[in-house]
Amino acid sequence: MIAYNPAWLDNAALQQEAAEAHRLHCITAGEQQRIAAAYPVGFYTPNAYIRIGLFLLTLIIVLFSLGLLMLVLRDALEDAWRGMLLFSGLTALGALELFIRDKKHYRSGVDDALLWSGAALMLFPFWVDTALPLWACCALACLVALAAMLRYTDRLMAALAVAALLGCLFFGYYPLGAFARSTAPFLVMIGSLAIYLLAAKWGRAGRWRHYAHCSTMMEITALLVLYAAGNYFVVRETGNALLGLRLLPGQDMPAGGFFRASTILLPLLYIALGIRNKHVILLRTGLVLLAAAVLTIEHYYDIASLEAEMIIGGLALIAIAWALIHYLKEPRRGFTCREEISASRPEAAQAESLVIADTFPSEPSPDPRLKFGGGAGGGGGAEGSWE
Amino acid sequence: MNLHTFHKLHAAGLISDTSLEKVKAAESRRLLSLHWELKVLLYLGVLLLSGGLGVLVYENIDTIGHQAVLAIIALISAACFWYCRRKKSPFSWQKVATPDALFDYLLLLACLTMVTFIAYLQYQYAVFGDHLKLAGFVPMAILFFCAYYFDHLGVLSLAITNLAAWMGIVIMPTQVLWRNDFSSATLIYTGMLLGGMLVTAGEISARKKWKAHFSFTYVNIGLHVLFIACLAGMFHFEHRYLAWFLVLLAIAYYCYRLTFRRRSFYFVVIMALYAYIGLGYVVVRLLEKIYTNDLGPTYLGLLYFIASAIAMIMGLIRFNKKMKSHDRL
Repeated sequence: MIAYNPAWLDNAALQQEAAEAHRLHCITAGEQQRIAAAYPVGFYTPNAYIRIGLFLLTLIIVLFSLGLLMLVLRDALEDAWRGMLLFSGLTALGALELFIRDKKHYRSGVDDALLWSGAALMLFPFWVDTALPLWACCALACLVALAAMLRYTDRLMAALAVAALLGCLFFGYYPLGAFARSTAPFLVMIGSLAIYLLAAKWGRAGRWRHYAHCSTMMEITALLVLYAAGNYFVVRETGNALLGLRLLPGQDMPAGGFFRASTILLPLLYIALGIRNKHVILLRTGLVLLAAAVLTIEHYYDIASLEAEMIIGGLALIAIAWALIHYLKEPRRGFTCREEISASRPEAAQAESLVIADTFPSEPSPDPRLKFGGGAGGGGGAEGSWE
Repeated sequence: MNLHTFHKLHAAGLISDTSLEKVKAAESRRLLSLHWELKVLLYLGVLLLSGGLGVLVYENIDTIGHQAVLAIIALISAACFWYCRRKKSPFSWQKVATPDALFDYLLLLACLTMVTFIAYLQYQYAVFGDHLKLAGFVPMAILFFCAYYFDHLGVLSLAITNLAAWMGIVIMPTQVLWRNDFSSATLIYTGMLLGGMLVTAGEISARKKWKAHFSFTYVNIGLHVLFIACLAGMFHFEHRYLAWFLVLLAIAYYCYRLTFRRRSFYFVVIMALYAYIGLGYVVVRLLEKIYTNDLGPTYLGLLYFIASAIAMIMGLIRFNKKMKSHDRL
């Protein structure tokens, strides 16, 4: 079923384990080399930067080939564009198969680009300007994504499959009646929970070991959709837009109390379960969703002025981090604040410094009303001319 | 690490008994690291706090409270600097390890509040008088000093973006393409100058070993600024684009040599992408000279882009395989 050589996939995983053991000084370099020789991998998997470069270039080729095709067939375009896109998609996937079989590409950027563009080209004709009901579009997307995930162990396709399945569930269920409309969020929550539990079980099975990354992605997607279906803002706005609720600002919606509770409690539940079971996915997802919960509360309740909220929030975060670092100076309960030696990379520090330079303004005043110092750029000395 | 795998390796005779014991011991001691989660918390905290303080300053600028706000900001900055000064390791031109993530981000907070404070001083009290360039120069100089004194890459990046802003260019990665006025020739020349300065600084830093680990940041930002300025020059100077293209090729060659010197594929990839754009532009301009009524040149253009992308891919793959077999890049 998998297009890539399964024996090589196993060997690649094994070589990675050996490399990590070597980084932690558990095995010698000689042992690592003997392991590499005993379990060879014939894939072409380039360095991450080359992979990005190849990905971009392959996308360019696909786009320009599509453009060329459209130019050549421009007279027949009115009627035949769906067929043309479908054909292009199939060609891309055919090229993908060739690259995998003959050139042994694996996560080389070329296979990523061909897979994603192939799937997108195949789904586009059915999603745009179509008479198909939305649940059927979602079902189709789910089938394509599932097939792609099973054949190519691609994580994006795994996430797409989960999202499409839940979308299909939602769009197919809510038009069924008034009762359906009011229980749609609960159905999606139950569906997401079921997918999460199934994906977790599936990822641990030995037979499906090549799909471990995919199951992780499916778990994350299911957790996110589970939260979204229980988030007060999402439910209220979707209700207004799709389900015929016409709520005025300030007017509470049915079961509003439940959704307000779940907006705040779900992330906390994720975090608590993540800490208790040392489950990194639950913990990180919970932290991110906690930020979403804060934004949701802020949207509906005007607690204080913007700068007061920012300052208090900033102080609170720094204080929490300070407390945790202090608490975890020595490893406790299996947690530590130190960086994992096997995971530390110099690129991470560079990336961090670039994020800092990007998000913190180099001009001290972001306020456009202020003609700060008379400069044309609105910042301390940031003017357009060089004297 | 999967213990089952290592038992299998041991049974196959590929690892010794001591190695297996070490693996089992390491795995039993395995800890979950919250390092990056804590860094994100600190980052968000500093972002919110410095942003909130900035807004607070300007909301209160003409009220009675502004002196109090000024004092608070100065206090926060001084307190953070004091903390960092106490915690830091002795200065050295080599890489100095940071005590922890809290130190990193409190230093960042100190620098950000310091910049806000100086800007506010200039605005409210015109401390630097009419010399606006000086007003921008002082915070930038302090940032550079702090970056070296405390050995902090983030503050260095801030200092570099401040330098660019002082020279009139916005180089923040997500804003560089749409916040600059690329139709200005001055901007393009300034960009070339800035890029050249940064790359030179990086080279000196690496060769003289003055905080050699800073050199990647200098060279990286400098190269991107140089390439973008060069491409902007090609697009802007309609009749001299070939001259600019030659400059682009020179920078690309330097970038290529850098791949070997620094043993990183990053440089060859960015060189390939920028050179691809530049060459593509040259070909489009040449094709434009063919005056026909039909779509012939357009077809040729599309075919060129497809063929050149294929050639570039093959080149990168071949380069990658060659480097892997020779050295361990």
